[in-house]
Amino acid sequence: MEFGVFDHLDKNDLPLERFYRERLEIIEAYERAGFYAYHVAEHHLTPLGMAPSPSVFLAAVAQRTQRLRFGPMVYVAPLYHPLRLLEEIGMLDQMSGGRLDMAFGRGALPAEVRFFDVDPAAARSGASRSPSRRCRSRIRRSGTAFIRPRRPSAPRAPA
Amino acid sequence: MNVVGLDTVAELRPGIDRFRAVWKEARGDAPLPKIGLGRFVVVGKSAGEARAAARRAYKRWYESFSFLSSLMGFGHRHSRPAEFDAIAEDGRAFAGAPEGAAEYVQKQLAATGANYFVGQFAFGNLTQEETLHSIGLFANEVMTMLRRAPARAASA
Repeated sequence: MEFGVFDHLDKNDLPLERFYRERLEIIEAYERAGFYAYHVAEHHLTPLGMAPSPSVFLAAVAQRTQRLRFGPMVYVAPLYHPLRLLEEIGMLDQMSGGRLDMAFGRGALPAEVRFFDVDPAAARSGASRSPSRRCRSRIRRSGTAFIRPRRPSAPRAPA
Repeated sequence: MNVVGLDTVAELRPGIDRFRAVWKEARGDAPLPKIGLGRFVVVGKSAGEARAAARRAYKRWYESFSFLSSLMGFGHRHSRPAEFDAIAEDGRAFAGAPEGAAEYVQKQLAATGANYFVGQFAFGNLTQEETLHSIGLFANEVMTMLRRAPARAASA
């Protein structure tokens, strides 16, 4: 049987710098204790969630742990441009040696979605942030060239 | 695809049963993904010590939980009671000694059909020392007891 951790990262009465520092120390303790994964919530403009950008916090988690898996619970998908999210996920995946567990949702509170001028009804239908055809085409063209260059770069002479 | 639910046994059980049935239809005997069950947990050397910390910390957590809904006047889709004793009573939280914690986790997993227990150990104004103490007891005693216990049918 495996065990995980869920964290709202809700605010307490500590100064924020110390709050984040102590929480990262606690996450190191989860790893030492043998937990399987750490899951952090995404909330906005509320003391319930001090990881409004889960990727930023999880980048620190990636550097403070070696074995623990981790991820958002969940990325509020309608609030991201798909390309931005794709790039963040790719970075976290590489920075952690493949320990990121992705999770997506519509957002627990419609009020938080509205803070971003996103209509919660559109978010529910999945229509709010679908990449345009032009965007998809650019991602395909540029991303393919970037990840698999057609020609290997020429070796450089040592400086 | 792994999932984690935070709701009550009655709310989660039908969805988990359906998930398991569809998995069986589609994948046969392939190992199930993680079906997670999230719960507030505070473990102490004594039940009294754990309960006192949990009551105090949950009150602070609830202030954060209800901040936007109070300010803007709406209700939560996944509501929580204002007091720790009430959420412990409905099964979504536990505070107590290690033996009680192991029994609680085992019963909750069996009742929901989940196979992955997800603890919310740091919340409200629990101090770092209180949290680390609780995590240490959970890892050293509760996890050990649960791994030795015979698996229940629903948690296969």
